Amino acid sequence: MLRYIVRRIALLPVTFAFLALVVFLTLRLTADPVSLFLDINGTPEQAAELRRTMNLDRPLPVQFALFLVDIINGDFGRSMVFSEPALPLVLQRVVPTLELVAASMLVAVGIGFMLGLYCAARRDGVADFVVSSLAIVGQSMPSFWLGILLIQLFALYLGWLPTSGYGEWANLVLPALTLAAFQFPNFVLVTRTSILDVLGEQFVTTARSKGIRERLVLFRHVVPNAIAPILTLLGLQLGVLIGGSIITETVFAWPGVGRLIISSIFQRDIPVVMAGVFVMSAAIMLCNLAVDVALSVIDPRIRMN
Amino acid sequence: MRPGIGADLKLWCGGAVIAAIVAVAIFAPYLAPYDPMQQNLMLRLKPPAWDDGGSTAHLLGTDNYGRDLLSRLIFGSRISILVGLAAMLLSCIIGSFLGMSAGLRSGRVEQVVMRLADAHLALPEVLLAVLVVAAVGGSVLNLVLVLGISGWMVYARISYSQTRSLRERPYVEAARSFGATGLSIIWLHILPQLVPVLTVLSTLQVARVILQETALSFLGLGVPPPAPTWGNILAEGRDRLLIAPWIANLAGLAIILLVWGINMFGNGLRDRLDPRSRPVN
Repeated sequence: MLRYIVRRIALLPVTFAFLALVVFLTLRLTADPVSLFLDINGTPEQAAELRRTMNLDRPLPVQFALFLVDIINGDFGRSMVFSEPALPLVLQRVVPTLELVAASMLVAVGIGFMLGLYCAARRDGVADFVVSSLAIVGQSMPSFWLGILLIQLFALYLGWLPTSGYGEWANLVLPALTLAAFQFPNFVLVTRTSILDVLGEQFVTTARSKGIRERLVLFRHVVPNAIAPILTLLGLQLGVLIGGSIITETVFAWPGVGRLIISSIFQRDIPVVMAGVFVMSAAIMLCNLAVDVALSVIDPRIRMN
Repeated sequence: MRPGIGADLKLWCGGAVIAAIVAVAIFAPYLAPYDPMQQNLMLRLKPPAWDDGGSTAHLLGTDNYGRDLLSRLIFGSRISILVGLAAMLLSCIIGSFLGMSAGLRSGRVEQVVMRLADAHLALPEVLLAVLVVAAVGGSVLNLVLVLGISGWMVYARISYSQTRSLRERPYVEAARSFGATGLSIIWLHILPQLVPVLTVLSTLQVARVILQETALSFLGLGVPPPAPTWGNILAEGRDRLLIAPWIANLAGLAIILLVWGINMFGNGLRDRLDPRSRPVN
């Protein structure tokens, strides 16, 4: 097991380097970096100066190496809007995003698992049909529109909750629900399939034939064996969730990393955008790692592979 | 073994919705009652015909610049459908080709391609798209390239695992022993076997790409205004929810209708074509 974990951790720098390469190439090849980093009124002398300080006169591989070193040192440059180092600016916004993601994950996994379990236990019942159909609608729902619908209903029409803002519990409800709704159809469907898979196993038949109550069969024998696919999805979905938080944060004016990235894009504050993208990606990679390790602890078949 | 009872229903419902919207997109200039860009500040924010104050002159009302919403929604379908289809094709071609190559030759190609897929899967796709579009701007071509290239991994993984099991089949070994090249084995013996799986996956991916395009557009990173896209219509409507909720909601309705249609169709196709998902009784 230790070997698996070590090997998995050893892969992390590779992924990081890949990420750095993608960001680097995007910024260097798609547009002239000077035009990205210098504002419109910059003089040719300023441009030349920037070219030197950013090492743009060196060959690309050298530039990339220098870029990597900077990133390893946590130096993404200074924000052009706030005139502060970019990384601390981003890190200040991590907590709100974490709150949002954690809250919506809890809702999505909780409700998704219960519904999926219920549907699987009563397969082909009315509830099963309704939930499965609704799940397809849920997967087709653009999360930003859902957020806007919730704002219209709960904030503008009923007046129960604030439209946007941050700081109180009431502020968290709508963004968390929006982000969760975007996820939970997947959890319903995966839970349902994975429970149904296990229900077809022989040890379930054995347990039933011994006269164990159905509820006990379900929770003792079926659920623990069906948990692995759900965990895998959880890991994959975390990435989607963190990515989706960009949209939710924009809709609800939630002061997280995602909103910072978007507003920095419109202010052409590239260092902050870069730092934001890196922090988010790093978070996702670490989550994936955690899930993989957890899976290998739970399911011996994975670490033997 | 028969497809699930719902398969036909899903195919017909989804297919009908898709056909209707694609027809609207193709014949947009003939169907739209007005020029989608034409402003008329005297007619700002007119509600839809069924609301108080609405008129049949503008069936779905007008937006903040007095542009006819129905015409904008009709023309907006074009960008979503175009980007969805083109990006799907691009990622399907890249992904399945790399996946099949990796599956056919084990060794270095396999290692490089599949590790690359893993690494790319670990990156949040919205973020990459946001980064690239922020750097190069959102034109239809840029969106297709970004969304197309950032979607190859799913295809690579599926065609990789399928190819791995196919390459042990006698007819592939026979072809190889006759001296067939890798490319012709892929083209003649592997690809035809992957068609059902890839068709299902591609259909569902179109839905996903369209959702991504509308999301980028909503964030202001899609095809820029005044060109109408469903995402930027929705974003404009968001700023006027209190006085003109129909703008955001009708655009949202258009998006969900198209994506739902594609998802239904894809699910129906899967019930039909993908042997793994058939209910085993």
